[in-house]
Amino acid sequence: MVAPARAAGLCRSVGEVTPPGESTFPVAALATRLARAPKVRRVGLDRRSARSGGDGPHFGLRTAVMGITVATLLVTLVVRLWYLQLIQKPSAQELAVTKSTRIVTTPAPRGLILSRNGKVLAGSNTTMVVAVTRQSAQSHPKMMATLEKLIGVSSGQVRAALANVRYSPYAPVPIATNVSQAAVVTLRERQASFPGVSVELLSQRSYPNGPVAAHILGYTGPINATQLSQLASKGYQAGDQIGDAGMEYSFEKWLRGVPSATKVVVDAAGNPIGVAGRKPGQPGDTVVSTIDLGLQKAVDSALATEIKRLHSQGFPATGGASVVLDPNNGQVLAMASYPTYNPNQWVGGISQANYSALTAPSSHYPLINRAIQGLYTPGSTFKLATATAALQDGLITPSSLIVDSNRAFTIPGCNPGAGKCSFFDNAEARPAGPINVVYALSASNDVFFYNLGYQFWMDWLNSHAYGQNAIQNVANSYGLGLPNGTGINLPGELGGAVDSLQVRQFNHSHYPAAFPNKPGWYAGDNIEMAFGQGETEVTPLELATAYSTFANGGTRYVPQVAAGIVSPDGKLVKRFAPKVAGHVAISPANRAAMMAGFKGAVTQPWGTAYYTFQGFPFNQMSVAGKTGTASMGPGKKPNSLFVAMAPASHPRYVIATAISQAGYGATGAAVATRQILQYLIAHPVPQVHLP
Amino acid sequence: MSVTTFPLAKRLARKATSGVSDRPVEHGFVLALMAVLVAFGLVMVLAASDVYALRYLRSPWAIFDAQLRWAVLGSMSAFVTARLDYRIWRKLAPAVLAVCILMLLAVLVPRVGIGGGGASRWVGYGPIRMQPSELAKLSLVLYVADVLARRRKQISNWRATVRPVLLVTAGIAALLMAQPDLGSTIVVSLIVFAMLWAAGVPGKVMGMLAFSGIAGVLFMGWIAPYRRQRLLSFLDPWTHRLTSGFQVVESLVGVAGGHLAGVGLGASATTWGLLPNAYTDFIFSVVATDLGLIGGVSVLAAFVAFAFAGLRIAASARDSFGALLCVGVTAWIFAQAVINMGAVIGVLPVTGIPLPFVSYGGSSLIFDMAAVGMMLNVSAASTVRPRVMPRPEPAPARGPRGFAERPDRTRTGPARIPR
Repeated sequence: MVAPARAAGLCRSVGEVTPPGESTFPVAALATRLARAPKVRRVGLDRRSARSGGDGPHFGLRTAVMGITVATLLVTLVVRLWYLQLIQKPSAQELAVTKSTRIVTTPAPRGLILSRNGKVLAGSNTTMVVAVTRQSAQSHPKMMATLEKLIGVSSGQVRAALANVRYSPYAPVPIATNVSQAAVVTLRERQASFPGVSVELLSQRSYPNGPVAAHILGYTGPINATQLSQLASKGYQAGDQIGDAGMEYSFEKWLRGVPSATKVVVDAAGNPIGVAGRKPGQPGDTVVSTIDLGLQKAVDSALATEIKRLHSQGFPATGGASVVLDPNNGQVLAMASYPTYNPNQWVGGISQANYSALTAPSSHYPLINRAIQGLYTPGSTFKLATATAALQDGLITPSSLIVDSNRAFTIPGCNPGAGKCSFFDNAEARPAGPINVVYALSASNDVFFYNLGYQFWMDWLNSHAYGQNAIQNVANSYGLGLPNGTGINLPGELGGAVDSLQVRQFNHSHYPAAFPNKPGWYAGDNIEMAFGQGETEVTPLELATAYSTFANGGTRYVPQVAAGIVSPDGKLVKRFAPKVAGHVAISPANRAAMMAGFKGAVTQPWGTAYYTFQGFPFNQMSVAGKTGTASMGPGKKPNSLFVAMAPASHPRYVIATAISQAGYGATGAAVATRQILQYLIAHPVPQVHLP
Repeated sequence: MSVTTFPLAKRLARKATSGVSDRPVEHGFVLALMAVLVAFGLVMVLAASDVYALRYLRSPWAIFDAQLRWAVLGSMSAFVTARLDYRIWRKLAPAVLAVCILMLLAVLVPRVGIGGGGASRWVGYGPIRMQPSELAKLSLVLYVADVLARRRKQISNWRATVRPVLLVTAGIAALLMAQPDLGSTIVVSLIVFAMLWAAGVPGKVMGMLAFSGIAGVLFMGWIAPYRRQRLLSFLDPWTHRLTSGFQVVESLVGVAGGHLAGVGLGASATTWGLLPNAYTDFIFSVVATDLGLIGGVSVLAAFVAFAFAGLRIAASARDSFGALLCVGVTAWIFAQAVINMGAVIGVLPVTGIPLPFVSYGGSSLIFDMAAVGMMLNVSAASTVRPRVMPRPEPAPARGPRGFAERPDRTRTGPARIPR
């Protein structure tokens, strides 16, 4: 309001009188006067004013309107400025601070995975990374050319890195990793010639033992879109590394740590112009695994050596797995799967060529952890469950005799239309005569178990004393064939199945293509199931768990791969106590009889693995075991399985080994197991060391 | 505000008029205002661009130097137009219009037209380039002033006056919208509207024009998604502050930090890359931030003073063409200033037009100054008083009124050209 008034004084309108028709609104009046041509200079070009000789009420009304418009706009803008600058300011300033900053998170160094002996299984490598800001790369092409030559990257690689949306727009983009020390020194000495270029230390996952324990450890990879959308609330960002398999996956929440956050001040284009603050992160926790590194190496190499030996003998031996458990707490001491891979090739993103190689059918799928994902027909190793069921149910006693007169068993009054009627034992060279359960287990006498299977079947037909699934129930309580597996804390575990009418009905209704026949259950099926054939399948870990349960007297532990979590400053964050999953009722007398049978398998001349274990130092470690030779159908070599418990008197180790299409249990899996046992004699597994 | 601007302007005006008593005081006043604004613009361009220029052009003076060159060229153009008899533009108006249309068409030709950000707004080759939209404003002012002055007697007959004006304006507007450049289209429309109004086109027609103009602008604003975003972000910039409202919010935040006296010349943080176009379309934001409410209101007042002075020159012009020319130029400068400043302080949507005399930019500076030069020539010529008063014709009982009613007298002698 002041302006027009003062301005009015500037023009020569002194003496002007507000005409009667003119608005009395002060702004309008002033504006009218201002916009009007000065009276003294009027040149009479306005016809009306010339005629009337003065300011008529209509004179210059249009000019006046324009003046009023101008004045109104002035007032509006002034009021707005006044409001903005003197009234509203604090809230706007507050917003200014939050708006011009961005948070750049840097992943924390990933936690270590240690062996039970404290050796590093999965660690971190620090490499020198050269990074450059996008603005600098854009505005200094000459400098970039020099830089590319110095650190030995192509300009194409640099362009690709700069265009990669994985890298935060507010942070320098890494263009080369593993830069030589010499190049780094040059860069630091001549920092001024390399604006926007920085050398950063990057912590990268490393697996110092290469393929050893690859399947347990797993690997990390860049987070994918699905994971990102699920985990965004936990602060994951695009480009973060995340555990994709094995323990890297299972223990992600401890291994990851807390990313550090840097508050970066950015300009309008989002270019960083400074750092407003830093919130330090926290390195990931250390996971102390139950794995014994030395044992793991021994198991890996024993399995690989044996499979290669089998290849040389002409067996397909497409893959195998071996698990060493501590039967007294469920700790996994070693777990090997063959074929294997080197997890280091996943670090920093796996190449397409490597990935294709790892997933090609000809390579037999090395990414599969056959110890928990391989399903094997257990064959005679299943006799553990049948023997336990027969003894505990009172079908037999340890001294009950069953006569093997002709190495064969024919179902009495069998109708050949209703399935198999005759079973032929090919484990022994000649009929064994009257035998008890101890001998039957050592020699893996099938006739003995045919009889048991038949007797359970007849019981179900006649008296229902033990129930339809007497053997299957015991097998389940040993942990064999549970739909969810053993419950080990590793991703992707499969559960096996123990053949039964219910399993067949389930398979038929759920997978009609694979199981087209109408499910039925006859005497022959019960007999096949009793010695581990039919549609029964178990994983090596399930097998190891079952024999561990037997070995410790009937307590089934959940297998565990981690013993504890330790914070970076050395404090114990979490201890994984042994977890009991169930119990198997087995009387000490029955257990002792069966154990004698298992011991005989490796020590008695009639034992199935006697020749494999000839010359084994039993005085240093007594061994009990069970072979398994599972027929795989016409044209295929049988699966070779072996389970060992040592020392037999009070087992500390249970070793389950399975090799597919590898011949007899004694000549395949047992050979590898012997190697493992010999290592264990020389290198007993120590207790886990936790702070 | 008056404390700072007016005494200075007054002094300058007096100085400009001292010894040349027969020039109206507005002549010197407008000249002084323009000089002050251009000089002030140079300072502000430097203050707003030094960081950017240092960072991207290797010298804090780079933008300032360019603007200084434009200012010299602009002064020369104003000097020439101020000395040329303005009536010469009547004859040149169709030619200027034709050149303008050709250039507007050339802008649309790929590779001839130079652009950025989805629009093609420059034409030229290498370092020599110009914005034809600036020429469009000038040529339209000349053409419309000429048509309305020639047909002043038929001012009530809209077919004879409004229609040709509207046709040409619509053509220019269509070419501008093809760039697309809604901001210049609005300015051009406002210029023509002001001139029609001043010429005395009947109120009913003006009302219809105003209505259809507003509807047209809203329609054009709504159909293009980026313009709709701008409109929406204008209504609530804070909600869109990370996207379309970014610039305005950044500007508002800076302005709010200016308080009464500002943070100091060159001290605003927004020029450190936070505010896009800080030294061009958003220079008023830097003014209000650096110099506070005092500086902002002073610039506002300068433009308002310019508008009043321009209208006064128009009112005292010796013929209708001169009067309408002055109204057109005044409307041009003032409308552009208001739209620009309004956008910067968030009372109008952002349309991307520069602040006359102050913003960085060669085309706008040269054409703005040339146009003011013409206005100065009108003002100088008005001091030549006719010896004989024209015989008043009997006025209709209630007829059209405005500048176009004046006789478009042909002078006997040459216009008095200032020494």
